[in-house]
Amino acid sequence: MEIAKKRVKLFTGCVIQNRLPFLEKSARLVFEKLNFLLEDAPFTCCPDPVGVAAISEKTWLTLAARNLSLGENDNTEILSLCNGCTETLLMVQQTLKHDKKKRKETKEILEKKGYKYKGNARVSHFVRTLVDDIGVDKIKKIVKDTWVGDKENCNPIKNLKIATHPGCHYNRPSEILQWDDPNDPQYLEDLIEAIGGIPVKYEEKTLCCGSAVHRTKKNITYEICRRKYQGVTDANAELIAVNCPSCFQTLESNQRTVNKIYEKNYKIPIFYITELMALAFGYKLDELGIKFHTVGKQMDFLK
Amino acid sequence: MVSKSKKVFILLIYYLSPIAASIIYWFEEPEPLLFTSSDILMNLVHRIGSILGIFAFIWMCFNILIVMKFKMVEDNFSLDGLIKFHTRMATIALILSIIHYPMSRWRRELPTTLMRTGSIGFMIFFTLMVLAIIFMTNRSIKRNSMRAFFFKIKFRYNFNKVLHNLMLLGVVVIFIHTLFSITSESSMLMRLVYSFFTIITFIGWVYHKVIRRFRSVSDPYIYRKASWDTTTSEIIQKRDNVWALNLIMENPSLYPCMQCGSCTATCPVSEITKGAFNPREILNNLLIGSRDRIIIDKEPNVWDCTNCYSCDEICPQGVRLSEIFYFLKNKFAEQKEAPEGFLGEAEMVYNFGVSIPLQTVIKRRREMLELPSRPEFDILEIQDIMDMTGFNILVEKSNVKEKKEEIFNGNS
Repeated sequence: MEIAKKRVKLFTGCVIQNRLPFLEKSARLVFEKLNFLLEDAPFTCCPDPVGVAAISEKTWLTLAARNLSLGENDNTEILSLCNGCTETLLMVQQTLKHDKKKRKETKEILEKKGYKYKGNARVSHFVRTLVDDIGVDKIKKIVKDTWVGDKENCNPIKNLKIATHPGCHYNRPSEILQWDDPNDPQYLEDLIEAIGGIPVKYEEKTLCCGSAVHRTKKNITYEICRRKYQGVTDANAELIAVNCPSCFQTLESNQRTVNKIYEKNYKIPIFYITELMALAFGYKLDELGIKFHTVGKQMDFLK
Repeated sequence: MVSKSKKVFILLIYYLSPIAASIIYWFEEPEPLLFTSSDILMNLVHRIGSILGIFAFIWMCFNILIVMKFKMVEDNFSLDGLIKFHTRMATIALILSIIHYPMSRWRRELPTTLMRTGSIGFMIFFTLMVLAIIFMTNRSIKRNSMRAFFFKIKFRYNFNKVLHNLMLLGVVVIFIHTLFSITSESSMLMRLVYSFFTIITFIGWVYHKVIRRFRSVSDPYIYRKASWDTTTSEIIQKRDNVWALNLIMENPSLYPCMQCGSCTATCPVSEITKGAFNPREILNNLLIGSRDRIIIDKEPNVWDCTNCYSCDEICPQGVRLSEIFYFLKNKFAEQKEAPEGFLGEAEMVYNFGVSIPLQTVIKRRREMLELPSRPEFDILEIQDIMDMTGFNILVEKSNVKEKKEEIFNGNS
């Protein structure tokens, strides 16, 4: 008997869609295995809570309201793969709920193009869906069932020391996102344990990756990244697990420059949570496009 | 989630309670001896006046109960709607009390304490109406100099708080007055109705003032308790600065900042730049209205903020620093002073609808990974929407074809 698949609209965001498509691949594989039906919709940029919101709040509200209205139409949840996109959509929803003037202006503009904004869209970050809707136990079971009969291979994630980087927009501002402890997020560690890894504690877990200030003052970003790498190295972690493509990009692409400026030799691969999960579910490195990572291509640690 | 049935339920309670109480009053209140037609008229006027008083009393109770912020109410009504409701119902209750006063006393002998407390309440409310009309009419006064004058007095002496406290004093007097209207002649049912409303309102008020302070804060968009009497902004408001006052009006969460510096202590950029970037200092400049330092000198530069929201999280007064920084950045963008890194991304969103356009090499990768192609949106429609929000004025409208060539042939 086939259980009905859960329909969600996949919101990848600009970075995953047009720069890091391999992250989308692993997300699709993982969620399809978990019995989700991923639909697409003509979403635009969320818009970026760091960039567009700084230029014009009105545009930020209007474009986000349009994206939200696409999820309201047939009452499907919007599943977002990026911290920033989730934050934008939820913050705009709250702002428009409580401020009549902004709601009125936004609705007027959207109605001229035929969009109806009602304000009752459901948005969920993919980690929240994994932990709340699906549950860590089910994921553990799937991982166990995948490798139980296999004599030759074993779970590549097993006993891997992983440092999690939740990112700033994962659960801050806590008044609006209302998810996990803003000072010491735990759910990501539960997820890592479920797929067989060993989560590692380090001081700078809640430190920003510095991507937002990269546009104006690069040296600040390099220093923040250096602190992160040093903290992860001191805690003896083998890789960093992220759940935001901006953080992924920043932490990956700045390693070489940080090594040059500070005369260090950091070689810390960055992986997305869905990539680690896909590897634990038995998918191969080639299928996931891991070769498109720029740090740690050899993947020696993955036996 | 807004639920229409729950909304209707709440509104029904609100409107039917005074109606039910009035019906009970009408049938339970003992009738005096009526001899002439003018007696009948006086009795009718008195009764209707008392019913207006009942409405005023019960709606005052509900207005106090609304500040307890029941989850069902908060979920089903928006915040600005609730605030407007709170102020409008207070005004309506006030007006009803003022009409109730002459109608109930018309050619009637009433017990002295009842009359005295009623008169005191009436005088307080009447004074309140007059003061409100003079000082709260910044909306209706058109002439800018008068408006600025009343505006200044309102903020300099925190007149809003004075008027609100006066209103509360009047409400307390009215509660005492109502208790005296429950005479030994009133029916048990009327006494129960009055007692019920008084008790639940008292419990609600105690909860609001005492217990709610210890409830863990997870209310979005509700400002936490601020130490109104000792905030720096109170002291600083003595200076004449309409720009600063307007800014605070648009960003009210700025008002309770007490310059404790917790934001700077937790800011990663502040630590790395060894204090050159200082969020507390930015807020200080805003509070004293130092336009030169912020807008012209740009010290400290608000664009160095990395948007990590650590300051928002740690602020004990609930100041929304990130929102205030967005507001400042928007002002810079309006004056065409946004940094190139941000404007470049804005241009991308304007020209392509996404902040990173799809290049050929990535398209091939997507095909290699067997990913479906994303559904297209109509870029002209998106551009129209952005034009309607004024985005086209803020970004330079560059030629799309030139931009595309630059991306695909040059370095990105």
